[in-house]
Amino acid sequence: MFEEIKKILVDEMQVNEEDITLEAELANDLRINSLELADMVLMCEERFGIEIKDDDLPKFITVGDVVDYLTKNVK
Amino acid sequence: MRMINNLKADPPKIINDLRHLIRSSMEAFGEKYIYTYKEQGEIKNYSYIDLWNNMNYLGTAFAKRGLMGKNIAVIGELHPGWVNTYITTVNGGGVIVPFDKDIDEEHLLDFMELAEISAVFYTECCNNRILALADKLPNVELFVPIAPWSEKLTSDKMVAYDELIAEGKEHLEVGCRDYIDFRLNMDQMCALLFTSGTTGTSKGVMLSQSNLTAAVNASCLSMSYDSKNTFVSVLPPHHSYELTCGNLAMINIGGWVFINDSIKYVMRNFAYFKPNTLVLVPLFVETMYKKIWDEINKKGMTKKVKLGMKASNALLALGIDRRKEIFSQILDAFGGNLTSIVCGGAPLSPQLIKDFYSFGITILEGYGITECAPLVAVNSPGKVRFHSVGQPVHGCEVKIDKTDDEETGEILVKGGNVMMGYYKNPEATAEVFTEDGFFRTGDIGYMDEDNYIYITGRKKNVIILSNGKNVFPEEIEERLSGVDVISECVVIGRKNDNGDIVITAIAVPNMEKLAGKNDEEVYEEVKKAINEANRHLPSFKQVHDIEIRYEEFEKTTSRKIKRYAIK
Repeated sequence: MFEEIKKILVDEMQVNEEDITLEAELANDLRINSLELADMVLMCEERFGIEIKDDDLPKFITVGDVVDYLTKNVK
Repeated sequence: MRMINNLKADPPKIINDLRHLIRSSMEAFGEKYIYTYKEQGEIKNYSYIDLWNNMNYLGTAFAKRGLMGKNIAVIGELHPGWVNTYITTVNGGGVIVPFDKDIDEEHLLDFMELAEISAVFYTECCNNRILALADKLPNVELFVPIAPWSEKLTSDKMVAYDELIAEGKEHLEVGCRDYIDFRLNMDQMCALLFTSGTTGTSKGVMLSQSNLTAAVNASCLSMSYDSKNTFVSVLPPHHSYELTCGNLAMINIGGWVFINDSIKYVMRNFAYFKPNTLVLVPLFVETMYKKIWDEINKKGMTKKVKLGMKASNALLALGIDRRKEIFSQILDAFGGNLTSIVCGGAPLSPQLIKDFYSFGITILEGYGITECAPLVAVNSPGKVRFHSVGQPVHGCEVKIDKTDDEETGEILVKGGNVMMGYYKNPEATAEVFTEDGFFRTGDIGYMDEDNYIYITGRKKNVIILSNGKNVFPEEIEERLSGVDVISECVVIGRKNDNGDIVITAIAVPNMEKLAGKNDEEVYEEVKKAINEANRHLPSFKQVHDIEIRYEEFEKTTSRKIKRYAIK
């Protein structure tokens, strides 16, 4: 799952690959703002066929949070 | 660059009050849709006739339940029911009190008590929150979930919005005219908007019918809106900028508003609904701009696009506009019809404005403040000046409080749109009005010879984020004052490398508590404590960066920290 998220971040969000770790904070370390995060979540929804509620967006602080969420929710 | 006016508009109608706004638009636009929105997977429409009828139905239900003239809270996302609650209340002698759906519980309860709220209307996103708070609001007589709602009505204080509409309709049909015959008092408070801040410092802005009417007329006249306008609403409705410029003004000109259903679908909804106008804050415009160039770069078309921009600009200078054809791929991402974006809250880079213009989208930067309902100035189509927030809007007088020797001064405003004062706070009201009746905005700037306003700074400590949200540092500092590893702290908005404003805490560590620790350990302890404090703050108010300093902040004689001395 981490690799999949990494791919989205590199290919679609133009994030440097070497900056992406599980601990990296989306806003502070990867400079992803709230709209870009929403965009990334939409890509995850489409790629993994799940729905992520808007209310869950603030929970995604680090790359690890996204990976954990998807690991738990993607069947 | 010479800008040409690509937006031609019929003159908007001038309204006498907000009831006249709804009635005249119902008469002029009838079955036309004012709102299109998604609900439970379905696309629904709401016409100008619905707007008029539902206002009278809900108002009559208010009359029958003794709610006319009372203070009504509304909280949640934009929905026709949200707007109807607003217009029904202000047109029935009551006071509407809109709340940010992200407000924390403590402030919400404080403000509701202070505002003596009699009924709370809320949309789906707030169902659980309001239900959980209901017991703590004993003075609220009625809780009204606006559709769609899924929870059971658990107490006799709860009634569904649709039921209230049906109830009002029934009473109206048998002749109850208390609401529709009600005579408006133009100078009475009809809207109360709480600005954020600490409980002690937060202020309730009181607006009258007269203020809102002036604001709607000014918005329509200055922004050249007309009935051909289609618009996608993405900003929260409690914000006076979105409410006045994006909703009430749209109603006046007969526009069509598509309500964005999720932040995730913003771009998809632009492509689907094909707006020709947007009202946005810099966060959206800057992200869209970055996305456009990322996409161009990804496709290896940077050189080609830049060449196209040069050619197109040269043609434009000759009066030939081929932008729609040349940049159709870029414009199609916004649906293909977008010609203007009104943007306020914080300044945009001139390069961004120029590039958007080259693509065929005119950015109209403006300036507003809640106390002015909110629009004070805006760049009008065809008359855009870079770096400026435009000329004062119709009916609004602006002057700069400065001596002849000074280049800049505080921006002062007078006009029909300027608030009545701060709720239950005559001292604060007196402080912000000059002897000759001008409102002190707290913003610093200057005006050029053609009355274009330029903002250069702020007297207040407010941090304005690129999403348009205002953050009062005192509120965060108050929260951090209880942290034992910090002896002093100042919160500021610091620009990062990307030009984004980041909420930054400059903390002086309490070395009695942290004795024996090295710099790194001190930083980690402070970070841990601030992260804990962040948990109690809404996400937009959370501290994202920390700077440690070991020397005490410089103080004034009254022992206040000299903020201006902080770099």
